[in-house]
Amino acid sequence: MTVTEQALVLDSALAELPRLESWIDEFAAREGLPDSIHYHLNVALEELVINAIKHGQCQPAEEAIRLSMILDGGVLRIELSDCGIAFDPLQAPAPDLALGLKERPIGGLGVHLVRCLMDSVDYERRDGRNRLLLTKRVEGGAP
Amino acid sequence: MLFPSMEIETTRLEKAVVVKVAGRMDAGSAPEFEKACEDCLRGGAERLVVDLSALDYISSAGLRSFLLVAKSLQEKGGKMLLCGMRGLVKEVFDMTRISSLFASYEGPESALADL
Repeated sequence: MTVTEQALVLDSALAELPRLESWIDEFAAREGLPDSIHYHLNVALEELVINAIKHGQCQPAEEAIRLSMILDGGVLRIELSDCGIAFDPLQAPAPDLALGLKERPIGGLGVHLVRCLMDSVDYERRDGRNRLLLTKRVEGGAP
Repeated sequence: MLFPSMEIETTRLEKAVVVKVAGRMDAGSAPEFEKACEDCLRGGAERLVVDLSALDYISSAGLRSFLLVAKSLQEKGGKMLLCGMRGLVKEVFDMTRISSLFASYEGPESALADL
């Protein structure tokens, strides 16, 4: 079995999101990922890349965000790093999902979703970059 | 599975405006949904039935738009009803318990019948 890592470099700009989407589509098609995993990856990575763009203030913005993804032994391993200011999205307080419409804040759902959709999410600050490491078990993918 | 671009269709009925949203609602397209709903509100609509049966994808940006529009409606004494929620979109609505904030129906007919 060949295990191929796929990498992507993005500028710190919202206009890059369609490239992220195509990259995930390509990976999902090549690895035969089930629709549910494809969907979960899209939601989680869209959220984390937007966070990196909005909070990172990456200077320079060119090639500020790097992603790599590999499917190895039925486990997806994703690394997302950016050159922005130190920012750990996992420190965001958990949203209170019991609140009614009037009291519900608009934000805070993205990181909650990332935690729900991935099996593990870890943050570290290393070599002047924010690094997020994500894993997700894949069932029903191509052998 | 590729998620097609978002499309919105609004139908003004006697009891409510039905907003049918299809395809992919992400950070890029969610503001369009918000605008379409706000246009309905400005046009005097107080009740929106959002038909999600053809929605293939929603991220947290899309959920935020639902919350914003629903809050806006609530302030005006109106409300939003959902119908046709399914599959992975339903999963995301359930995980964030946004689904618990709205009455949800199988199709627009049953939502309209309840108004």
